[in-house]
Amino acid sequence: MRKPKYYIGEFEELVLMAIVSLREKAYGVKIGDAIEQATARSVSIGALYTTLSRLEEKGLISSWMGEATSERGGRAKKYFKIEAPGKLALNHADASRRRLANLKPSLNLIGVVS
Amino acid sequence: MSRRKRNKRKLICGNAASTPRDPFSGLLGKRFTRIESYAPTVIIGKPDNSGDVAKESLDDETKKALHSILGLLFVGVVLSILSENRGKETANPPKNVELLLLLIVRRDERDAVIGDLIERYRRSHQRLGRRRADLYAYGEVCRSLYPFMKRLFYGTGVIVLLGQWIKKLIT
Repeated sequence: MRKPKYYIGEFEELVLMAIVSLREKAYGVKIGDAIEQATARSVSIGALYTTLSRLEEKGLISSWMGEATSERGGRAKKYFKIEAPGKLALNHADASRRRLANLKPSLNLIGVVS
Repeated sequence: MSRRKRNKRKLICGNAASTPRDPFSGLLGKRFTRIESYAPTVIIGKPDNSGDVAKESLDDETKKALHSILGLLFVGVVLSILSENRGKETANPPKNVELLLLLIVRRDERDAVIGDLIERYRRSHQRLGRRRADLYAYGEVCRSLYPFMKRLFYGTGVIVLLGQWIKKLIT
């Protein structure tokens, strides 16, 4: 089996998936909203930005500064985009989960999650 | 002709025999007849030498006053609504929250983090009001302290360890 370059955690995976789903409009507030809507758990700014900077340091995502808008008090937005290693890491995480699920075919996951 | 109609006709046409004499009719030099309406009349100003007195009906005055009061009220309500909405659009989180974030956030992230906080704060201000929005901002910063501080100290910890290692190598 090919060894992946980067391992990503659960929250990192959620952030990557949110960035992929938002495409070009992915910035802090939108990413946080997408995760909150999908998982019903609140995301703090600190947790989100430390994760984003970690992913950026790993080279899984890239960022650029956007326009400053009045609704943000004249502060600029920081947009994020997934890079090729990020896509690979996401695919690897997904494949790992599927493989693990296949190891226990008799496990009724629907019954476990109420 | 019925009595009611007769009375009305008297009031409109000013029957000389039946119309009550106005106390100021002598000054005016003619009989005062209430032609326009049943409303009482007021005399504005004092009779001058020529005996000319300005008379205006109270109705007109009250109408004008009411119009002006209603106009002022309308303008006030519109301005208050506009200012309230404007306040919601331009509301900012407490300054100490921003200062705390400025201390712990990296320089390249400051604009984005504080902008996000302002955007979230304004959204909660519109939904929940100022007090709860302030509480939300404080809560958000308290929750963000740990991840930011952890990153900050992790970075400095690595530098300290590196320094100790270099020191060992030298000695």
